[in-house]
Amino acid sequence: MDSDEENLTKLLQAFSNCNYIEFVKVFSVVHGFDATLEFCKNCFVSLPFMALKRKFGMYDDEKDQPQQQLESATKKQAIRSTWEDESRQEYWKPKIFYDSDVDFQKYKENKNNNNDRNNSLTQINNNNNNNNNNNNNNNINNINIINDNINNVNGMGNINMNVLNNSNGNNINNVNSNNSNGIINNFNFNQQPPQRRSSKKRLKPASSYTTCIEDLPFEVLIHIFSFLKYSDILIVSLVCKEWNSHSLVATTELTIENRKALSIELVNRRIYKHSNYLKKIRCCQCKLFNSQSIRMIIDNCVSLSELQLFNCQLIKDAEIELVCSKLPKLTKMVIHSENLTFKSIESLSRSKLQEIELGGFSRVSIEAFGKLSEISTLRKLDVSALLGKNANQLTFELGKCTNLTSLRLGTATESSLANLPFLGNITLLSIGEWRLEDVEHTTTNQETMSTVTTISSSSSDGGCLRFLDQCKKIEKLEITGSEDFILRDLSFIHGIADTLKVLDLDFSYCNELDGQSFKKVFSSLTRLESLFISKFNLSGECWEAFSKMPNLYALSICCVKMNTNWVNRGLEHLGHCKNLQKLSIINSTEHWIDISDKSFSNLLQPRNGNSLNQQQQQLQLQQKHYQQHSGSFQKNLLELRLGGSRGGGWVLNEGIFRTIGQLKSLQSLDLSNSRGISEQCFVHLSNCPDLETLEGSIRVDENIIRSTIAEWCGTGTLINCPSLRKVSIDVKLPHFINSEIRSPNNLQQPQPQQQTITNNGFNLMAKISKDHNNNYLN
Amino acid sequence: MSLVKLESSDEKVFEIEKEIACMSVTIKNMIEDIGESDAPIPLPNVTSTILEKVLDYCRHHHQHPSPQGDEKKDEKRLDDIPPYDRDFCKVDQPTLFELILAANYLDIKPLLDVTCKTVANMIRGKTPEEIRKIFNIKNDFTPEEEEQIRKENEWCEDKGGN
Repeated sequence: MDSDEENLTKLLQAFSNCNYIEFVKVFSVVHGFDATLEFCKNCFVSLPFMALKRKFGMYDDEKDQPQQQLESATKKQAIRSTWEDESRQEYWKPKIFYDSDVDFQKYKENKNNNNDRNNSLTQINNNNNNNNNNNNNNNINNINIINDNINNVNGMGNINMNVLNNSNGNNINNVNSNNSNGIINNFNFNQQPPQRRSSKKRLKPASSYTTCIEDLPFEVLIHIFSFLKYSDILIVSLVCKEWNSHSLVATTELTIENRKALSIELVNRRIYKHSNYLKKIRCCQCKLFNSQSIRMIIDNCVSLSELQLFNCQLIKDAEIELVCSKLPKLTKMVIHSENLTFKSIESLSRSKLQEIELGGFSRVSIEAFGKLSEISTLRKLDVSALLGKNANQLTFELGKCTNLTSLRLGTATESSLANLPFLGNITLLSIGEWRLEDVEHTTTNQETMSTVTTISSSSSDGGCLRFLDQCKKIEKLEITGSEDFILRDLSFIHGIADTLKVLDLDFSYCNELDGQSFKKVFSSLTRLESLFISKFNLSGECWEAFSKMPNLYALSICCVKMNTNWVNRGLEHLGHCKNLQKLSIINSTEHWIDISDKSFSNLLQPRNGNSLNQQQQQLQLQQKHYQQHSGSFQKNLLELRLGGSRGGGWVLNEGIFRTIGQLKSLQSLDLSNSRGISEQCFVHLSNCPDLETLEGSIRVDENIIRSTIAEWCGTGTLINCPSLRKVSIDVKLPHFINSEIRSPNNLQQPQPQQQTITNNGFNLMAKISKDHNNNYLN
Repeated sequence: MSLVKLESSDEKVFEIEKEIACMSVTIKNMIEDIGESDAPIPLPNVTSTILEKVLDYCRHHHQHPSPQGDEKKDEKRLDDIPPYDRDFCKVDQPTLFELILAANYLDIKPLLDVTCKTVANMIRGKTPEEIRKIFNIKNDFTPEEEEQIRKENEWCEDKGGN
């Protein structure tokens, strides 16, 4: 244990370049939280952990800062959070700060007075009025008002822009306010003192004025925030007051999970706070979520379009009935439950939903699902998570839903799909487990006797997915084969090659397919945009097929049988996939395979590169913008994953990293379960201007043990990557490391200030473990 | 193909195919309202430098209609920016924001989406302080307020930061 701690000390010293380290993760491997904190305190004396010092309240560079007592809660907060608090300045103090509690209490009072739940809209208006009259918080309320009015004049985007800018007391020269006069009068801005804007130093002479983010109108900011996850929106709410109020509106999705600190009061308050804008609520395993919360949603979330309930025990049939009848804008529902009965299915059948996902329902009889066909609006159905249902019977019932265009099934066989009359209309088909005919099972049921006869005829050659001939419109196909299923024939692909855009195939046994037919068949998929194939045998020539897919932007290959030769030949072909943005090659064997740097560099310069360049030049003459459009592998690739599963992986050398360094758009690099990575390798990554996340695993071999610990993770060189945000590295120490390693006393601290650093630092997650497999390279 | 004239705020006139100009819903509506006319359409909210860029964008996408289906459009995806668009958005912040304003004014949905996604990408995964630094926003919270919001947010934080 002691020597582990010693190693970690050194490792941390090496990490001192980083702004922020997730200590909990690094240390919990060995020590747990308190020891981590203790250790950090000691380290601060000698190390430039600037960000951490601030978080732990140890301002040794700012003597006037009081030494804070570290209360347990704040300690935890300090470690957990990534907040920076450098520029806290009290230059503007509000009179009263927004308090959602006040609002929430009002709702409750209001609710007591007003039992008519159908009037949810008027109720919200009441709330707004109450706020205006009673609540001193102008910020939030006014945004509400503005937004409401915007909804009224929707479709006049340019006018909104003017209105908002005017409201904030700004005269920006590129905003024309001529045509907005008529509208402005309808807004009651007068309540709002324009103090938020005036506090910012930004009014410069019009000529030298540069547009900044504060000039963006309200609805554009909301549009920007709408692309963010909820966790990012929470961060946004801490940036400034204006964004804080926007974040309220921008929260359109809410996820409720079961957590210790959660009470139903908190949940309902949160729902209420965002209720006007929520579009999607996702509730996972939440034991608290009850009928009260459902009523809260029905009363307030007028624009809710999606509700997901995963194993919410307190939700009963009655609540589902309420949801189905009282939320008119709801278009999608996800229910995973064991408590609900056929009554819920009946409630669903009276709704106007377009998309339904069901899971569990093991006690509900199959016939009940036939009721779903009564929903005339239903287009997408996902029943892949239903439990204990016979595939043939279920598809027989679902066959009544003739309007479906998207269907996800848990299990299916050739004959069960023969029950579906609407295959011709379907654009998305996903099959969780493709099985051989289960004759025993089907014959026991009398009702489906008629279909059994067809089963026996087709079951003899279930290995060729014959039903796909009917799928004339299919764009997306996902099939996972069961373990005993053997794919013998790929000819089914010919029938759907004209429409197919996304293909996801995962079959355990495809040994009977030869490379030639694979190449031939897959070359016909010219419209394919995304391809995921798992457990195929891909000899080098097969890979050529990928270069025949001009629209392909995502390719994932996972091979159970591979050798160096195949991969190196295959990589040469991949270089022709011009629009590839995501590439993942997983070695799913138990062997370590070398990738030669030469063949890898062929990705950038494919073999017959000369003739290709000529073509490009000609096309450039024809089309002015061709150069930018065509790009190349080098320019387009965003994500690269070279990994391994099942014990094997890739052996990467420095030359490969040199090539990776030339991928100018690369944002994410995943090299987990790969070998051969050293500090020199990471040097090349600083050539990728957009690289944001890096995952890797380092097996420390003997040579590296001799050098300093800083080199283990190469963090000294990674700091030069300009956009790097997140690094997670799995450090595998050899099992014998305790006895071998001695701390180098003259450990050199990296000197960040002296280098030209463009990076602000990154989050590093390092998992340190010992490699007990004696599975080392020589 | 018939041409239309567009006049920027600094009184430069651009000539462009009508079909391309009509990628802007605002311009399309204007043309429908005034009918065929030789007079340039005034766009007082857009400077010539920005208008030129916007027209480049429209020209490109007119020639290369995106192959991606409609289905993906309502997804919250930030990684689906096509290469040309990504390069197009590699501009300094003032230009980017002016492009957003122009796209908003001219009502060109794909351009608005792609520019907004670029900004969202700049925000994603950062700390509040980093965001303030990037966009030069002043922190107008008092420590108490900041603490309060943090507390409110706490229960729904990502466990272990994803």
